[in-house]
Amino acid sequence: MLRVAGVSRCYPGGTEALREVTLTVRRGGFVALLGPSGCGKSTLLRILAGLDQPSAGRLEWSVGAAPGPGRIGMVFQDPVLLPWADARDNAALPLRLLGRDKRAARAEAEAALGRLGLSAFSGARPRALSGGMKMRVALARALASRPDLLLLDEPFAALDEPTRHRLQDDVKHLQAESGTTVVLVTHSLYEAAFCADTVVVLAPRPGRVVATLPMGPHASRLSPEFQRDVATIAAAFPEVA
Amino acid sequence: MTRYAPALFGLLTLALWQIVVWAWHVPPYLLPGPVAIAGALVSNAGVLLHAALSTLLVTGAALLAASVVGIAMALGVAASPLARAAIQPWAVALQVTPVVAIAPLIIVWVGNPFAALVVCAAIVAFFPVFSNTVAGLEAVPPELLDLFRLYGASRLTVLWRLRLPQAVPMMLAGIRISGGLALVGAVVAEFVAGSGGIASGLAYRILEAGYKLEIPRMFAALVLLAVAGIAINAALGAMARAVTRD
Repeated sequence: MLRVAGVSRCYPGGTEALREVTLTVRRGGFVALLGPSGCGKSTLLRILAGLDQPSAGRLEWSVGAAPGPGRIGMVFQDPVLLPWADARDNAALPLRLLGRDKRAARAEAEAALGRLGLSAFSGARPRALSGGMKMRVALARALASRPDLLLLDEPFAALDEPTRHRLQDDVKHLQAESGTTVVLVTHSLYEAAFCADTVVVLAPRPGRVVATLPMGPHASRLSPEFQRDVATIAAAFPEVA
Repeated sequence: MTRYAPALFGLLTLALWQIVVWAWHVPPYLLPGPVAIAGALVSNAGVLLHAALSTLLVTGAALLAASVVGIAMALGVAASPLARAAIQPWAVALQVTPVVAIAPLIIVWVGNPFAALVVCAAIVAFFPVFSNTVAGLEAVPPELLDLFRLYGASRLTVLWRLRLPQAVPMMLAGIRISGGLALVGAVVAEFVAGSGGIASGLAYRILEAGYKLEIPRMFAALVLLAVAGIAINAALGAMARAVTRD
């Protein structure tokens, strides 16, 4: 799908967020970018989204050019829903921005909400929804345009543990069903090991790749294989000063 | 209890005031008691209500003008950094300009007395609605700006579909503050105009009563002014709740 080739990002003022990051994202794959805070993983995600430009290096897309609007979906740590719109209109927002007419956009949004088990709440305003439900609406919004690439920026970090586990399961299932390529930024070893088929471990200041680890498929968070993969990641995880 | 607190506090204060006036035999030209003021209010009801209506008309027109111009200029400032750099300092200059100082000139420039009063009051009312709307337009989570960029939204789309709806609550709060200021501005302008002979609003009646030493009548006009202020504030508050309710 995409190769990140020697990407560096320096900010004016000299802060070096990323240094020569190279990694491959397979079509239909699930890559977790894992690292402590300050390792530039969110910066890398913004570069993948086209919201930031690398200072050096480049992105090599398998289709030749960077995907157009609507081909990439993104979910942030905060669900950032529009408070004045209900769940359906929030999920329909990308399609409306892409110029789709209101009825078609709403129908697609309803379908996306349905896939996340939110059909009953499509008329609810964000303030009436729980944290987990808001995050589901944000996921439905990112999936509404049926993107080829889904970028998740620590979307579950602020949720309680049972909700987090349920959403991780949902994202895995949705990804397996739709074949969407997913890049997940996280600082949780367990989340990376459970969700991803490839874990890229980054070290901070400057952000750089220290390990690329394949993960086995994990049906359960209790299996010995899962525990082993977590241990493998932990061994590669950089010491944080 | 909280619901009746303002009325109870008011009644208590009025009672105390009346007792003081009676007990010390304060002459009405120094401090009229509430009973004398109520009497003046009733016996001058026609003239005073007419004056209050005139002041409220000026206030309403000024608030409308200040809101339309303030919101339009805020949109301009949010849409273009150049417009922002050009407009912002002048908006502050307008805020600190004492309307008392320039009101006589405005009355001469504009000619039409009603329009002149509206211009003066609008100058006083302009700043809160303008600055609150600007702040609301800019208080957008950066992630939402990223999201709109991700789907190729233009600046105009961001302004129309994200910044403007986001700004509505702060805009309404600004209009509410401006409502009170429009009334103050209208009264100040009427004071200046009234001493120039334009007879219309409550301020003119206050001046007139003062000159004639009819202090209870002056206080009656002040009471109407206070009632108008409270009514404007309550009406704008109700409007804000109606617009932003779920």
